[in-house]
Amino acid sequence: MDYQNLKVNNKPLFSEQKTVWNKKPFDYTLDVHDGEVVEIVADIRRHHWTYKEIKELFHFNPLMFLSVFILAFFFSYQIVQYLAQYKILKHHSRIDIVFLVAFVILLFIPMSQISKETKDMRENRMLATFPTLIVNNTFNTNYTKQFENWFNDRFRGRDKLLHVYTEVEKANSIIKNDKGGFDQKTHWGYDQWQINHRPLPHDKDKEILVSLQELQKFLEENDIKFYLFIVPEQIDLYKKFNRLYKPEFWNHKETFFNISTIDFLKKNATFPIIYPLEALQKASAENLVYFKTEHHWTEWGAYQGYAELIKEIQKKYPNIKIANEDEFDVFYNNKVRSDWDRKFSIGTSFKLNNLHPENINEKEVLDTPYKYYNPKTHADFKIMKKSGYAIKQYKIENIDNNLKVFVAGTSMNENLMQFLPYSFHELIFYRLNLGFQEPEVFKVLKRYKKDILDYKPDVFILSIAARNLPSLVNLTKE
Amino acid sequence: MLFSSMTFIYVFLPIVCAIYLCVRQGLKNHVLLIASIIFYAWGEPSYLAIMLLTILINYIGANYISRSKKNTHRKEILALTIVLNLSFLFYFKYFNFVVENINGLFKSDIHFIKVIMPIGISFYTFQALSYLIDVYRGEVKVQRNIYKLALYICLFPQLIAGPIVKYRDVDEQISNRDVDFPKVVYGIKRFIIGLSKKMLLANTVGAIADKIFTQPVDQIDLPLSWLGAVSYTLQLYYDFSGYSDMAIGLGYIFGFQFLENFNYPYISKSITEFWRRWHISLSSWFKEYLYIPLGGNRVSKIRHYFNLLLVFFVTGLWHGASWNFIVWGLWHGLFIIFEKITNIHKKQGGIFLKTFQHLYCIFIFMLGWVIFRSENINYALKYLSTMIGLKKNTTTLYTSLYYIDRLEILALTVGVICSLPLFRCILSVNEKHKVLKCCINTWLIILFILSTCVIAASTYNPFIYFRF
Repeated sequence: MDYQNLKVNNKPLFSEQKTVWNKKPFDYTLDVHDGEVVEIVADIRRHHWTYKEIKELFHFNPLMFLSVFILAFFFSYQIVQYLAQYKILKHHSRIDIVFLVAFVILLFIPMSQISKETKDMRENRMLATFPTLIVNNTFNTNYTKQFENWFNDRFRGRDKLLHVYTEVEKANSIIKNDKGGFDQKTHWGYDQWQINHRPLPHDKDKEILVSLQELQKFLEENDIKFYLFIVPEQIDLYKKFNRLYKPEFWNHKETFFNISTIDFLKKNATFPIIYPLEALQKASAENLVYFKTEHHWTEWGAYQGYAELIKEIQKKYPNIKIANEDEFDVFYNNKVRSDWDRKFSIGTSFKLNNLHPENINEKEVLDTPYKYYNPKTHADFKIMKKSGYAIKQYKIENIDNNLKVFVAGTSMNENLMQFLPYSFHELIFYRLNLGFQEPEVFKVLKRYKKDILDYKPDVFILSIAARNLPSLVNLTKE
Repeated sequence: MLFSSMTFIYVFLPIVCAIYLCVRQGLKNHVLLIASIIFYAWGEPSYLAIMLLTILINYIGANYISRSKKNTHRKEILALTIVLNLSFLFYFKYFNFVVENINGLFKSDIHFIKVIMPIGISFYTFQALSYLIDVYRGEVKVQRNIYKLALYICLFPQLIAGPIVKYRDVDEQISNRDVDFPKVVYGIKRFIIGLSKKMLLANTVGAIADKIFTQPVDQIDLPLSWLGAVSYTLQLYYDFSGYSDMAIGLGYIFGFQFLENFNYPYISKSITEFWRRWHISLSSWFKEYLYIPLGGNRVSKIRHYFNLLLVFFVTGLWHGASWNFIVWGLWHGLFIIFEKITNIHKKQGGIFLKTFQHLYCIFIFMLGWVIFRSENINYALKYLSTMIGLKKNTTTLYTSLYYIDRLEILALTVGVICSLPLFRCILSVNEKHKVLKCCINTWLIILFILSTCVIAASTYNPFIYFRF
């Protein structure tokens, strides 16, 4: 039915014409007392179907339908001619006729309907739009590429084909692709780095050190204390779950997962380096310190890292305190911070290694309760600035120190920021790998020199994951 | 545009087929020509000009040759046109390679040119040359209709990866051909087989080869090196022969009958036989237009061997502007000379001799493929020394799960079986065997759907850090 000028107790709710369906009623909530009379007034008439509604109802694109219909007609007309000419007159194979017809039908299915969706929730991205040939009065040279993207994103049967593909893929014990993998036996996920990692060549160690020393020099010239915080890798803690690597190789400390580089830096650098591997190993006995689904640490893991970092800073600034667990609501949850379960909305989230969600058995992956921290309300705590995930700024008024801290880091810091701001008077966090590609990501001085000088921090923390070590050669490059 | 893309199979092909079948006979060539130009321009429109220029040069050159009565004049025009054709190829494919070697040799600093090789330039240049030379030799009549010549040079089924069709093989078909039911059905079946070879076999075993060949060579041990070599051997065969099958199939759909390009090369008992079965259109091109003009085998033995070596040097160079391709070509040339000297390939004998001949041939071409696949000669030598057990102290980082999984094992097994001529007759099963024919047709449709699934999977492209 079409409703117009709807009024409830004389209060107009809408004046324009609105269509209401049995399955899609119009919702309106009104608090009423017992016995109160509710007056509902509206102009009601039988619904008149519009062209747009018909189009939407049947997912129907008349232009596309017409084109496909005409082409299919011509094509089938010819086929019928062949059938008449060859089957009856020349006795061609009936089996081949069926084959040909089946093939032709399959050929026309994908373009028989083009999806109108704008976004694919599973893929976590906007779908490509139909390109235009002329852009700003010039020929669109990327037209063909854009057309392919548009068709690839929207052809009919895409989901079903992907489903078949993932079903076939399940035959493998480890499902891998160019972005990551998932072990169907251990139910642990890997990202591309964890799959294709190779030891860092030792000749880069010195180059990294020189680059860090240059950054340190710049900071010291501006009275800023420099700390390098290196977050261990998931597989440093949970080697046994990564069946891709030979077990005997785990013992090669010299060559694996950049540990030798960290040892080299610790031996030769004059700035503090915090690498909380041992603390995480201890803590892993109580709860998982990394998610099973990919390479980021859990909040429990991040809390351990945070405590180790503050312990190191306390050596120079004894007034700094480690935030107690009491200051947070601690709870356990099986959910992971991953896009394949979007209902879990706290914190950040990310995709599970580019794998099709159907490949993952949710029950088997979500069988572990992770330890989470939600900050309790803190009157003095202020979030000064939040620019998406790129920049975050915090301030606490009544705290025993006046320290201003500048943190530049990667995604590992998303969990760390649950804790770190509670130890300092002021803190600003810049996300390095957001919207930048290598080698720009770690060009810290080029990107943040002005910000550092403007903010005038007392402490600068470069907070990275162990995998980022090779990129540190770019710290002071232009 | 690639044959193995959603856009080609499900947009371009049905539309072109439908229009092609609907128009009258006189317009069919025009439809194909326009389709071929769109097909070529789809990937990189700017290089269309090079192809059109090639067509024009060969059209004018061949016409002059056919009209000229003086032999020296004819020769001069032929030479000029060949040089023009090859200059495009040289500029786009070999210029930087030559500069790199000159710089390396003379410590000079000649600048490289920033250029991307136009897709299919090696194939269509060779097709054009075959036309030109055949006109010069008087083996074919000159084509006065430029559209027909353009269609021959840029016909989309064989434009980017062959087979290299000689003009005389399709001369008649360009002007006069039938599209009938058996041809269309056969063409579709060939196309599906080619697509499945590419998507299901070549890509799957290729993933194993890629994983192994991207390892530092010190981390590859003996079994792994052989797994890599076997995988690449199968990948190359199924990739290339799959593409040829698709091209031949598409040719049939549009009424053309191209010659076969592969004939189970991996069952060869000698390298000489291998080259009669592998990339037949290329080897026969070199035979007709290079080996025989050089004197072939009707010269002294030393000159004959030199001719063979030269032909295989050029064959290697044709495959790519890199020393490993040249070494690969010479590798084959040397073994063909070895066979000519020893006559090993002609020896008849029992099962032991045959087995030995097979193993010898497989061993040689597999080592050859390693040279072909390697990034440089140094890598190839180290890899080969691991394969033949000369290098022992290697440390592999990954377990076998990293390199090979169940589907890949299946693809390898199927790949080995299908490289034998066991299923040669599946497309010509007699109508009397209705059940068998039904099964084959159903299986082909399933293969088509599975191949499409793999293509569709490549369109699944989630944005991982959307939320960050």
